[in-house]
Amino acid sequence: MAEEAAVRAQADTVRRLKQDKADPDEIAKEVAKLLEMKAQLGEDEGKHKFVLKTPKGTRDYGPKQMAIRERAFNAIISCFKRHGAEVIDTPVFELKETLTGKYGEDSKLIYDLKDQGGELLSLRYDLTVPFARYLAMNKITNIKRYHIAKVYRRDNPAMTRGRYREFYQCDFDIAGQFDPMIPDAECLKIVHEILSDLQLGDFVIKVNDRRILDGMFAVCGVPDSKFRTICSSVDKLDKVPWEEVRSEMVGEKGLSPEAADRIGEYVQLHG
Amino acid sequence: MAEEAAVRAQADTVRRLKQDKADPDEIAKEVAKLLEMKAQLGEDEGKHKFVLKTPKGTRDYGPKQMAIRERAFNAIISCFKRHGAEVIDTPVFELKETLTGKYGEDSKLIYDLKDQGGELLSLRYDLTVPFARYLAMNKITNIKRYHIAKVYRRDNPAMTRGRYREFYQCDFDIAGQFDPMIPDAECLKIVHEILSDLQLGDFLIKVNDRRILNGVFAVCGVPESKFIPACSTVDKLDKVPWEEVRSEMVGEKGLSPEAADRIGEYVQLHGGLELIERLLQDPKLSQNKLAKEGLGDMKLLFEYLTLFGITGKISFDLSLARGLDYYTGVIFEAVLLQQENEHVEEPVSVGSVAGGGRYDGLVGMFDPKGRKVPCVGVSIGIERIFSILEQRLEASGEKLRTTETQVLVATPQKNLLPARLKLISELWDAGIKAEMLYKKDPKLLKQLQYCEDTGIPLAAIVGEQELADGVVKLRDVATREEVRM
Repeated sequence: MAEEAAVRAQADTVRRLKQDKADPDEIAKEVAKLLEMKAQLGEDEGKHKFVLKTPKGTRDYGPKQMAIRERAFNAIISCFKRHGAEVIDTPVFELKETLTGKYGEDSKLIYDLKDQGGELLSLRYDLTVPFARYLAMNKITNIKRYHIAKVYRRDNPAMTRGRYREFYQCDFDIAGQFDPMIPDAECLKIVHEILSDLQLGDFVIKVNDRRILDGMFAVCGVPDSKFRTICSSVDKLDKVPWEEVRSEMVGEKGLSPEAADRIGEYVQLHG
Repeated sequence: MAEEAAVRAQADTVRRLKQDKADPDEIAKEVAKLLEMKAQLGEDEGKHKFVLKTPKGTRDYGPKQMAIRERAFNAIISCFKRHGAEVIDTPVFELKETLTGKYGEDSKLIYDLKDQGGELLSLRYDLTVPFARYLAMNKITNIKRYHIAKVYRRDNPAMTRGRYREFYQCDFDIAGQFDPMIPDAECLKIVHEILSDLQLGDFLIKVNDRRILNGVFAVCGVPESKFIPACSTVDKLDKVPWEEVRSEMVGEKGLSPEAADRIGEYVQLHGGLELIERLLQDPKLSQNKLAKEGLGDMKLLFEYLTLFGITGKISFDLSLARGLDYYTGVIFEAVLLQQENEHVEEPVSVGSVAGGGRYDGLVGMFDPKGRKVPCVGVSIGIERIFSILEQRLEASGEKLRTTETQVLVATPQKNLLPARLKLISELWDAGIKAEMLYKKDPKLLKQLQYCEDTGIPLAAIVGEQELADGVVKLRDVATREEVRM
């Protein structure tokens, strides 16, 4: 680099002065300058080394992993294509304001870009908000599209449990005003086809409806203002037993024990 | 959201107070509270609207553009695979320190992430530095790999000329200590294959060598400290005439006029094996160790390229310098030549579509012990290629399909949705690409129109008659021929 060339030039200078048997003070001065430049270069070289790692929560995909990934993507993409989906792609970052106010509590997990004098930007958190922005921007009223790309979330990755800060999402969406439940049914058919194709073993697709949930809360005496928070408690039923969920609803979320019991009669049902 | 629910709750409260004929002051108080909450919600709703644009220098790829992109990538990837390359992927951002000190002047174009309390990160600027980091990190001494991914540069995009801040790079690199110039020749063969496959028209691959350039500077009396500034000035010769380059060297970069003139005698040369032989005999250059080495390797390269049969499109060009600091040996750049009509004397280059070279020192910068892994590679300028393909498609009027659907399942009468769903499901389960309209009772004409609009070649029609007969009517949308099956 320029510094190394400068050091060599200075070394040439010193050599020449010595050859020409120049004034010893002048030689000493140029030698001191050379040593200082070398020390500076050493420091710079040190700065050129660095920590051999990828950022926290991210990883490289080596050839073997890419081969596995290609297999999975081929199965998924051929299913999307079989159903007539188009494909789109969007930038890795959006204007910060595009993402603001869309993710609730999770907003603190968004990666922001540094303010470098231009627009304020953030890395995309999912593919759904960019999709909505794309539809609005292009005044599209109906489309069936898939989008496979990486998204970014600054949470605490538990690498061994497969949680990363940079990870792929594979989205399929149908936008448009259609007759009820036909596109909804196709989405479920697609999930079924993909999971079957990938031969991951037996699987179940759980289905519910926000309207049924809200109706249930209403008839069980849950105040409107508590719907969302009770919803998130109920959502934990796949990981923790009913007793724990019930005590969270009563103890932390301020629900009456009677309402909690009534909810319990419904939410444990499936079929 | 929670605020909307709170507003509804407050509205309920007001309604109840009014029904119960409560104290008017209390009603007034609660009404005021409700209005305030509604105003707040209105403000929040404003914040919920979308700013309808992508960031400066970036764009969405809609279905038509993705179709073009897929075509280009298929040609490129099949070439890489034909040559036995593996594929890797790396994160979109690196530790800031990984990218620091690698790009010289261009470092100011790097996108940094905000310091949010963790590691300092930057978006990758190219795929070469991440590659070197990957090699050093995994102690890999040889690999032939390709990597296709987006990179990020904060420069001033000239959108109309296909320059963006987020754009794809298509890199192919061979890392490892091998016999001279064989992998280098393969890189050039790959560029030749890709540009030929994509049928972008006539092209030229300019080749030079950093050692030859530095040798030329040395014998022309350029001080070592000025090699790099001289290099970047010479690099401009593909865009500006020699006089301008010469005056920048003398006026701005502080070169002596004599040195500049001597440089001019060399850097305006281009040719093939004969030029290499001539320079090997050049009295000044043959005294310079570095130039001799570079010329010797260049001769070897041309011999291999002759065996590959591609020298017709290769030019040894002494004005080629290439911006990046990390090249140590052969460098090359492919340009498309535009020939508007037969009357054009000298084909005009319309911009570079691929570039690369040998960079033997980069991995060593990452390795704690400074272990060197020599590398040579090429980056295909896929964005420029997309632009060209897009323009060509528009000009040709060819309609590119954005789906691969083979058949539309259609029903002509009412109440046949169940039959449609059943049939389409059978087709999907058999691996056939099929679609249907999301309407309970669509008109046949609308369904056939959909086929025409989206390019679906066949329609599988099942009406009351067909159901009764246990058949399906398969219709060729274009010819309107029908077959019962």
